[in-house]
Amino acid sequence: MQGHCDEYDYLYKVVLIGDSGVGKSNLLSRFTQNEFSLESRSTIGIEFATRTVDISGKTVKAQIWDTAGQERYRAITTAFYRGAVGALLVYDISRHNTFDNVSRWLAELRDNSDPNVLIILVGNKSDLRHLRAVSTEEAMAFAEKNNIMFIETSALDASNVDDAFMLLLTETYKTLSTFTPAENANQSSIRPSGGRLLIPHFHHAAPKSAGCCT
Amino acid sequence: MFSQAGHEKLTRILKTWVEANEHQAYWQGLDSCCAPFLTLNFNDEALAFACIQQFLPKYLKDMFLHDNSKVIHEYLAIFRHMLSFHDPELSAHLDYIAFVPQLYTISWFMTLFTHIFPLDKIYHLWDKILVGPSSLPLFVGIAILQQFRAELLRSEFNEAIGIFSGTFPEMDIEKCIETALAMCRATPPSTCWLSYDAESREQRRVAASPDDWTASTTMAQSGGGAWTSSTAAATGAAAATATATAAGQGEQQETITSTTTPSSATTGNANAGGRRSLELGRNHPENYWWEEPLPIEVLNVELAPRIHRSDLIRMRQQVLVIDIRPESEYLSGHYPLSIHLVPGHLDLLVHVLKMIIKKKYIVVVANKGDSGPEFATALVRSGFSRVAVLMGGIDALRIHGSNTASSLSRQRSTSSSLASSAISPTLSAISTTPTLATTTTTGGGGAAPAPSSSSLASVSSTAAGGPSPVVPICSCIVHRQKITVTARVKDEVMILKCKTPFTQKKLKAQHAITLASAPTPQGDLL
Repeated sequence: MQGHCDEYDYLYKVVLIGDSGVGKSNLLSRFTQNEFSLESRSTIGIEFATRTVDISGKTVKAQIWDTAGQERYRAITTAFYRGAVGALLVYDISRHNTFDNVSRWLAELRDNSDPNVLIILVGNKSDLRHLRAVSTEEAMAFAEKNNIMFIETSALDASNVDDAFMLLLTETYKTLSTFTPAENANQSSIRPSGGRLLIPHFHHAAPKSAGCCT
Repeated sequence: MFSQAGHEKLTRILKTWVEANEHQAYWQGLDSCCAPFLTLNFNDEALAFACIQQFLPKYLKDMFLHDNSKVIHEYLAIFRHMLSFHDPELSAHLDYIAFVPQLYTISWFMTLFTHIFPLDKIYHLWDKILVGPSSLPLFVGIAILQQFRAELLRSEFNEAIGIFSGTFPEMDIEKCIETALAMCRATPPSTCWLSYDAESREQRRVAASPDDWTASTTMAQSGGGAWTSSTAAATGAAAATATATAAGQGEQQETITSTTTPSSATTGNANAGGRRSLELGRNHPENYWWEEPLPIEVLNVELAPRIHRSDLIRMRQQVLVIDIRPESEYLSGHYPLSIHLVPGHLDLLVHVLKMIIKKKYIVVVANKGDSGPEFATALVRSGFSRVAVLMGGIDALRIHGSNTASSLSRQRSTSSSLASSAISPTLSAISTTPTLATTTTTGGGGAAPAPSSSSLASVSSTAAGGPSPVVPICSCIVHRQKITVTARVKDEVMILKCKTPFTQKKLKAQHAITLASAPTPQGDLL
């Protein structure tokens, strides 16, 4: 249990979805505790973690909900999507079938959550270059077609993990807050710093115009 | 376990399990359940497999079905009810902040806590679970919550989530087990019956049958398919006639009479001593509306569990029955020593009730379709613990009335643990003089023939002393207690109290009720 010094301006609920074994829980532990475990156990039901970050001078608390990737758990964790403002849809770049299922996850997410939820497609395990089964181009094309963001990460070597979360949180912040950032103002804050595998990861169709104001 | 060999062994056991249980499927978490058995029997995979094969059906019955949503949702609903039962304040708070069990307990129950405790604590915990009832894990879950009680009560939803992210390395497992066992012992079994649990089903069957129903049930079964057909026929009959005679002692006679002609009656000259004869149109407990499993949506809005009348009768000395039916119906007939109040007055009465309730349990009795569960929920929210709603409400008591005599005699002979204390006739009547400004008056009740204006049966009892202490419906002169609530300008509310104890002697002396068994009573005594 982390001590919760609860001073924050915004609290965003973000969900992690994707097939079993793609590395959702390790992405979460890398982001919230900078930890990674090769012997991680499967997630059961719902698990949570939080991290407070600074976005444009505001304190944003990200409350990240992790869940079992196993499909049959969906029926018993109906509360999972409720109230989520962002989602990381994770697949494993070394297993093509986890990418094949992305569209199903996307459909389920859109069925169960707020239509304005921001989504980032995350190709995890980018350290497994020699085993790559899903090309960056393929994934990027998918992301563009579905109007979602895209990034490749490695929870193991930590590359792009923070960036993935920060990108999502920043876009969420832009969408949800009344504050309108200057053009490209946040570009620098999401540039990956030192990740070995640098992917030109997002296209700026991201803050979907349909998304924000009503 | 993390060795290559360990992985291979675990995989083999899991695959074997999936092969051996064709209706079930591998759920994430099953590996965690298997691991302790494999660790203990690392060089005997067959034994490890045999362990898990025996273990799961008892504690995680049907949790690993392809679609287990009904099973687990019911389990979590009952968990919530049990939390209310033992810790109403915490339960009401978690309910208020919408921190539902679905969010944090699935990994506890699906793995029987292996997901959140280290192996040494698991061995300790499982040692107790293995010799306990199948409901014990529910109470372990409550005990875990209670270790974070103070923190939880201070928390809003988002902080509560913080408490339950991750495992509990600091958990005092010994305290956890003790608390769980204590709660388990104090829980009437019927309040945590699960429809998918074998043990619950067996208890339900026993509670429904041995005294009240064995005779007719056995007959229906041996009659070859008569079960369903008579059920169908009986449903057609709007009501039934039942006569139970405690012939062995000739001490009690109770009649339930109804208005319509009984059809498809089954007659059984039952029980070893030929103690009674039974004529029942509705001869199977499944016929009763309260035997139907409740939809999950209903369970989820209620905070209090349901209790079976068998538990109420067995634990009667420790139970205060609160009757919330209309006053006229209460006056016509009520559970002995019960009190009556108007549900809407609860807010005004909370403080008084807290002072006068000396019993360990509260059971709410209502009419079918009445707000019994809502009232019980309100009691929970007001901080009353161990509150339950009587399954079937007054209807269940009416039915029970015809069979009480034999029910009681069985309890004596088997002297089941909780019943033993109930034999003693030392009943302390509810204190009628709380320290508030109260005036107690007597009278106004219906001492005369007490027609039940509500539904299908009128109950009459002829008491004659002797060993049949429980008359589930009594129609004595009730005591009126007017309570002036000073907090408001002028609020006077009334609690009605029955002072008739369970023992027949006193019953006879005070309020022997002789009722004509007129089948169609009407009229309001007031």
